[in-house]
Amino acid sequence: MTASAPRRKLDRRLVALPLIALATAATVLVPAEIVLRRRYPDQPVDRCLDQAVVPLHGKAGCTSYVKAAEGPWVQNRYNECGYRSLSSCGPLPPGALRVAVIGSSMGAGTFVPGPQSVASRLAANLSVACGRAVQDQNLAVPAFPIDKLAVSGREAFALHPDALLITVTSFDFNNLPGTRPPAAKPFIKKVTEAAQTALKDFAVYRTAKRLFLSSERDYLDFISAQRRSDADILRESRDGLRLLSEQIGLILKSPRRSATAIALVFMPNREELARTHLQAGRVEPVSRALRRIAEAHGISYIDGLSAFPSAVPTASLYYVANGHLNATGDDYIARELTRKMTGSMPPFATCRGGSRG
Amino acid sequence: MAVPSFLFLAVAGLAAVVHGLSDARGWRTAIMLLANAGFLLTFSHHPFDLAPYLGLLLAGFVIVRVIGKGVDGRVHAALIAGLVAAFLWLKQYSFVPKGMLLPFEYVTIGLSYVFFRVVHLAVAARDEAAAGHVGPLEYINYTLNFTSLVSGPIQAFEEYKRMTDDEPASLTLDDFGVALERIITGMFKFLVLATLMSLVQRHAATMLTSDPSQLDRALLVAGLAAAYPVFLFFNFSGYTSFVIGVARLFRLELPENFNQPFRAASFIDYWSRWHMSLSNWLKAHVYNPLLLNSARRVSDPSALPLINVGALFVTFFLIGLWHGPAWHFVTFGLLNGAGVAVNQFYRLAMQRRLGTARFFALTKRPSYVFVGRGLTFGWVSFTLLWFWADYPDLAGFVRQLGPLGIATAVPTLVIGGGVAIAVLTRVQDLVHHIRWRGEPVVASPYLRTIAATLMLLAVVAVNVTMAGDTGEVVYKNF
Repeated sequence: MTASAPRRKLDRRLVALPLIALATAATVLVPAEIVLRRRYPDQPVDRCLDQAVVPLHGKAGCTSYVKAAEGPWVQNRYNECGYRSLSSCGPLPPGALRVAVIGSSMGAGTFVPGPQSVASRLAANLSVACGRAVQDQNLAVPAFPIDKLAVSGREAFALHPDALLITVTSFDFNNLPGTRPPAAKPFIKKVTEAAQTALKDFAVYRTAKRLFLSSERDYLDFISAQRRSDADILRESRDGLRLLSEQIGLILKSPRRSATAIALVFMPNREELARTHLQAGRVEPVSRALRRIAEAHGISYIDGLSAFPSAVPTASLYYVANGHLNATGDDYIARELTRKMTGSMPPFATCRGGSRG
Repeated sequence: MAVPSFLFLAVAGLAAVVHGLSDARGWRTAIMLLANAGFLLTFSHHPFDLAPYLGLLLAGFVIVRVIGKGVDGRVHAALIAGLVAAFLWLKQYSFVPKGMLLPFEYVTIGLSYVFFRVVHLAVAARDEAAAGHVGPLEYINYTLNFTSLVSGPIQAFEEYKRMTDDEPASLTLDDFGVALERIITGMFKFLVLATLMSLVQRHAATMLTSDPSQLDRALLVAGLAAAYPVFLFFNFSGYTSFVIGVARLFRLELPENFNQPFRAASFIDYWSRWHMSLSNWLKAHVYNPLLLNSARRVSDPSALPLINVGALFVTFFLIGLWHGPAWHFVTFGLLNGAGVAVNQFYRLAMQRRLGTARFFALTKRPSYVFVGRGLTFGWVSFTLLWFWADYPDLAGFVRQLGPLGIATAVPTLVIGGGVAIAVLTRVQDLVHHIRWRGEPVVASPYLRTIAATLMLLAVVAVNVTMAGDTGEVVYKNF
């Protein structure tokens, strides 16, 4: 009897303690997830975009609502051509000018209310500067693949735009079709990235990320700790840059191009902007590579990094959890585009310059 | 491979499972050897960067075996001096002429702790047969023990041998649970609490640049100075808890390094609670021999207390000097030596004035303990300024504060530190007094499981959010 009593105690704790651990985790995480989902709801899926295939543009005449966790509810209205524009894609009114934007989510202004997105603000700014109506036609959509840029470009030319802005961000170089697999990463990196991918749908994880990375100082330390060299960055982007250059070549050969001025626009992510803030005078390797591509093709290059004064914290320009530019960030980009376009891109070069708001 | 980290834990866990497959000594020795060699190799990036390290190990082994065969005192001293010189050369101390340094980069991870173990063996080899006849595998596993390679703790060879040969520590389910708890607690202190303190310090430093008022400036500097020792404690004790837990999975009991150091009411007491394995090593191999040798040369017994003060000064000066090859660690060493010397003089003076019994009773009074803790914390914070700030930074603080600011910052640090420690120790004591069915509640395995789970959640959150970059233990650099 005495010999068996300690054995029963051991067996009970072998079951009880793991259950207590699981119950503790559930008690903390489940209510936190529920509360945070209610407090910071998010809707990343735009129902106006076909989720079954890679969408080249939205559904014609569709209206949808999306939301980043820390941002406002955003109404996306797609015109009769399926472009995220308040203006019709039909023939321009007399005297009006048109700017077409192609690219992915940063160019689309995803999670930013339509009138505050880059394309809309740019059109409004140019209207003020040029003293005439300037329309935007935003063909950019989230997750737009680089290898389809030429298709989008040809579609944009059908609108007879006065300027075509090809917006590119480093995210576009991930998961390219038919390219080499990325260089082998350390095992812990793979595990951590897999964990992050699995966790990113959880409000608790997104909130934790916002809490830890909202502080500018913490984010700069985080970036420093990443220790990604310029060589690493270029190696990871090499295939995407090559594909981009090929697509721009195809766009330029399009018979529909006519007199459209074309510019390649770099939309930096928070990490790239933060690195520029950390080191005065730094030129991001992707930006340098994009400039070379633009020069090689004889088109204008607009570096989005120039849009942001170094004193502005990056946390105020981007949604911390999902990494997209917010309305403030889009405003800065739109002002920089206005400045550059009214400085050198016909027919806007004759405008007196200026921006609204 | 970073320690502590989930990767290290995963690899160590796997090695522990394999290690535990057999009780045979040969099996356990072989698995430890593989784990130790493998861990060291993770720090090597080219073929020859381990050569100096292995050279020191080989030299140490030869010296230990030579001493074990019997040498006279002078030869013994010369051999150990040779080991010390090799260590100073490999660690590239400032006073080593640059022309004498090796012209290539090489691995120095944990070199200090390997050196301590080798010297311990070399000293013990003269008197103890076991140390003098240490076998090569045993020597490698003892000096390169991967669980404590990076930053200790420093274990005596006799203890290590006892646990690996005859009396390995038990590993029941309870022991496993306690080991897991230590690992989680260690990661929580290292990854969460130390990060928090680092943020506090950084925030204070940022606020200093915003041209605050004179009073705010003094408070911020006091806060900056106070945050660092707390950060260092969480960083280093977190690492220590982690490796003690990991070693336990291999049925090894590593020595403790910390015993609530901020409860110390004197600087000497602080050093008996902070980095204890190093203090004990220096006591055994520097303080005791220095004191004995000095005392033998003096005939006047009244000089013995002064000799004691001198031995303490030298010992703690060396503790400071050990931390690094740069000149600001000389200042750190001088301040440590001066601190213990003044503390000892004070004790001697008070014992002479009040008598030992009355002085002892005085030191137990709550008001005395409060003042003692505040002053000790203040002095520790002051000495550690030379850890994280360089001379230009310190000159900048002095210029910014001025005499009035310094006169405000110092009492703020001392009194604030004393109050904070008093509150925390009171809370800790109260919590430990809460009982359930006659047992302290904090000892309940159920409560401890809940606490460990909450800590683990926090650790995972920080680790995943920061993409696995967990920072480093500060003492890895020493």
